[in-house]
Amino acid sequence: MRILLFLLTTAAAAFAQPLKDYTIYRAPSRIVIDGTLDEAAWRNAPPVGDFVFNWFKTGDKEQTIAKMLWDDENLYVSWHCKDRHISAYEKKRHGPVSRDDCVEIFIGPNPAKVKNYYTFEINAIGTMLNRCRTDWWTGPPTWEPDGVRYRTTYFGLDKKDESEDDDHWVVELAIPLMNFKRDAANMPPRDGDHWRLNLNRIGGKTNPQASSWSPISPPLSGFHSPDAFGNVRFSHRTASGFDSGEAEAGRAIYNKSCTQCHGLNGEAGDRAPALGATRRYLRQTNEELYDAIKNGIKGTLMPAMPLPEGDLRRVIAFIRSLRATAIQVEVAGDLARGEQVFMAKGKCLDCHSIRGRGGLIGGDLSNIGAERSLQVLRSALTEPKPVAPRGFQPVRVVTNKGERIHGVLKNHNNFSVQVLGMDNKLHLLTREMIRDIQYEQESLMPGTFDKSLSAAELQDLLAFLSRQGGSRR
Amino acid sequence: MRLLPVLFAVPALAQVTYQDLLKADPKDWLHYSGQYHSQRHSTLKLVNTANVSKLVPKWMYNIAGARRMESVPIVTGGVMYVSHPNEVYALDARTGRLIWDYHRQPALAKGPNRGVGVYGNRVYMGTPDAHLIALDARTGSLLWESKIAEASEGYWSPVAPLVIKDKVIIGIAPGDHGLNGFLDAYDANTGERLWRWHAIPKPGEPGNETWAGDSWKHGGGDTWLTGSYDPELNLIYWGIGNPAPDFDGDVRKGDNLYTECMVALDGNTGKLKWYFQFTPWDVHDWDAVEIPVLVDAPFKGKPRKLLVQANRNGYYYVLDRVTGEFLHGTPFIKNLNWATGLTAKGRPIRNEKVIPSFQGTKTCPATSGATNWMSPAYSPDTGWFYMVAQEGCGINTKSSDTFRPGGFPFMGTGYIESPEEPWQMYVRALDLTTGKLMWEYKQLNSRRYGAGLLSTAGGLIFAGDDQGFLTALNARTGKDLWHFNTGQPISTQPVSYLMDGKQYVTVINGSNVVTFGLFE
Repeated sequence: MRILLFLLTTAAAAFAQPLKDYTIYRAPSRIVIDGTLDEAAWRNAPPVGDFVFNWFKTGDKEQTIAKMLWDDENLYVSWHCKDRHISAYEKKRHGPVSRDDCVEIFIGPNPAKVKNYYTFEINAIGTMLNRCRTDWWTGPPTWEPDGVRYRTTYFGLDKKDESEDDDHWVVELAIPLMNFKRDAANMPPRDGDHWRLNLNRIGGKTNPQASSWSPISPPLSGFHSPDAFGNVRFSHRTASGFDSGEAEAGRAIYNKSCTQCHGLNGEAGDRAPALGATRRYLRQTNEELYDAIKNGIKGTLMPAMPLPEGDLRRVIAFIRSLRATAIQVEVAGDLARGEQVFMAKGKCLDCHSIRGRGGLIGGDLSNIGAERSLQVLRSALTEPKPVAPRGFQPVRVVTNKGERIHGVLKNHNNFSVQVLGMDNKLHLLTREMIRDIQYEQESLMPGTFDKSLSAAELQDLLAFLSRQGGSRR
Repeated sequence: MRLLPVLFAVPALAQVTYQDLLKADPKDWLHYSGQYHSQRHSTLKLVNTANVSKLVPKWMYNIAGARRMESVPIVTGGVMYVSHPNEVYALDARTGRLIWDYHRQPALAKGPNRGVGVYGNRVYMGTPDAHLIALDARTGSLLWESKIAEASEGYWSPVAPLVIKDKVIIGIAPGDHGLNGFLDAYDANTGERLWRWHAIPKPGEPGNETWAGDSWKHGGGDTWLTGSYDPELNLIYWGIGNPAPDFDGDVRKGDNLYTECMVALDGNTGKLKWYFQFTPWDVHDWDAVEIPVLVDAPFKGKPRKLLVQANRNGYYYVLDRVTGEFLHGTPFIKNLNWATGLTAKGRPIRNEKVIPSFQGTKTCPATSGATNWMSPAYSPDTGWFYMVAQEGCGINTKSSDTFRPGGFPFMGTGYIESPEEPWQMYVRALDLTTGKLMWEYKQLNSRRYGAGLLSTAGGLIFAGDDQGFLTALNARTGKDLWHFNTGQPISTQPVSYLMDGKQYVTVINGSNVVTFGLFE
């Protein structure tokens, strides 16, 4: 079936390699464009995969690790280029940078009209060339995109000669998405939006090679082959750092191998803690988890577990999935319908706010998917909360003037009380102003949405809440 | 340098003599707990119940980079000495202006520091790298340093030194790392170590039989809070910390002497005169380091030399400080589930179900303690003992643990706040000899422990709290008469002193030294 599809779409020979696919996740936190990829966002973002050497004859196939992320304003791209011979000389804006060690991204925002594409070519010393190859562009052969920010390892040098120390170089790029508004379906993109693009690498003196992420097969030749662009989809999720399929496989291995001490499905066991809990002593990173499982934890009952490497990786993915926030996991349900439930039937805006709309006493939910796990979101909606969290304890005050205030307690002590009222106003009272004050324990948040909503509505609402978050600069 | 006193217009820096330390003139604040008997009662009464509403801030001094300071200032000769780990600040007590500051290098990052000791022309401080150092009180120059223990093994000293005669007494921390505690005496002039008393007896010594197997080797029992001194009896009273691993008692069956004890040591030799153990085989990290308060008072009609302590385990104890005899004990908190009472000898009758478990055991009081390092006070005017209590419970868990040299936690796991019994702080007044509750003041919304008390002859109890408030309470009724929001949580206790015929009250909050006086 797959082959048939390619025959139809590319009209190419049967040996054509399939186009590549990639999910661009939201950046969970701010990315600083400084030519270093040390942000957690970059670390957790999956690489696009190996580049293909389409026209290879001889020499070293030096690989490129490329990643992409996005937020409401920018598309972020990074290249980590393995390279033992780095050279670049072109300093002139829109100069022929592809003669130097150079990286490129060609972006087609409209998959139905992929021949409309935009190019960004950057050499190792930070000179950029841009073109707007679209059917509407009537300007000069080059193009001035708005607000592009980037840094390269040798940014700003007058020239970069090859050196014995050469090992790798990096490009970090932020492109404001508004540059693509004429060709993109939605701006900013919506969850699931489909674009086409390719990432390329070329140039240098010694061992000059040309490689691309999505393969370019005959009869196509050269990087300017939009039909060879890979498929990318924008996701409202942030990268989780684990694969959900591996996590499910890991659950089964865990339930067989670890439940002598830990509980089933990562719950607390008789002799070992719950693995999804937020305890400060828990191992956090993949490396720490690997070490704990492989070698045991000294000074505790945790033994070294003789698991095969693949199983070990799957168990790690499972443990990471237990700790994932809602935005990092697949959540069934319809976002748009969930938003409707949130706005209307659920009456959520009576107390909660989201991106500047709504009530104040329940707190802002604009980032809730990135702060809570799906399980916590579900229990918040469906379970009673006999003790309100700090800052949300309901309180009723009668002032000396007879004014009645119902709201949540922001702070208090023996001398003063700070109440955020149901009227969305702050009431700041000293002891002398209060005739009577009644504290209530139970949270005002109803835990009954499994009864007041249909199962489908609840799932849609969960889907909507799960996708609230990530970087929103 | 000779001009310094003139330039700063402060009284000439008089040498502090042993007679001064004995007398503890209320114009100064010479000891961590005010006086050798640790009553924390200032006989100054220029600030009193009638005029405390006129108390206003006079000056503030910021210790850059500090947070949640636990230091108690020492005031003598018009100079206030404030410590922070690796640092000492000498301030003009009238204006809060800096005279000198000392910064130890390299500065190991370990805190807190609870204060300095003074004697002669010297200021003494324990350090994060486990040294006792002596500074020149006039200049802050380092005079000598004596290594107490190996910092690389994990030892350090947050303790405010206690100076008796010509000796400096200092302890170490922390037992939670499985390092065995001791108490040291150093020559106040030369820094030479004179004696060391080991809190964990070695094989062949009395008490070692209270440790199963080799468990004594990493038994803990540290000495991290300053004790008291009776000059007539020449006895040092010092509370000893918890056994290690804190929560896993399975590996150290036995009473675990002398952890969780009050010990009385001979001032000259450091020999143990008597001990009283509050919590044998403690499994809740209830260090017995709380300040021992020495009071001479009639007990059941007979004049006695008493030692009283509100212990972290929730009981208030009255002991005879000559012999260590248990006279009386009663809970000072309402929520106490780990024991059902005390025997005639003062030994707890335990609830065997309240032991840390893998799943977690509800334990009342919590491990943070029914009380902790926050100082109590005693007012001879009311005859009442004032203390800060924490009501609430914890969930205590245990797991096996292995000692690692180098200062790593050796806890056998830990505790969290019980959701059903959240923590709440109170100031409580107890009758000295019966422990009966005379009044209580709820520090609404204060749940974290740390801020202690000062009693004054003005009929006042000054109390800090977690909300950053310094509050003056009527010592007889517990009614709040004055308060000030210092802006950061308070984790230490206020002091009082006199200058130019004016009474001042000082408290350190997170990072500021804040001094109050009457509005004029």
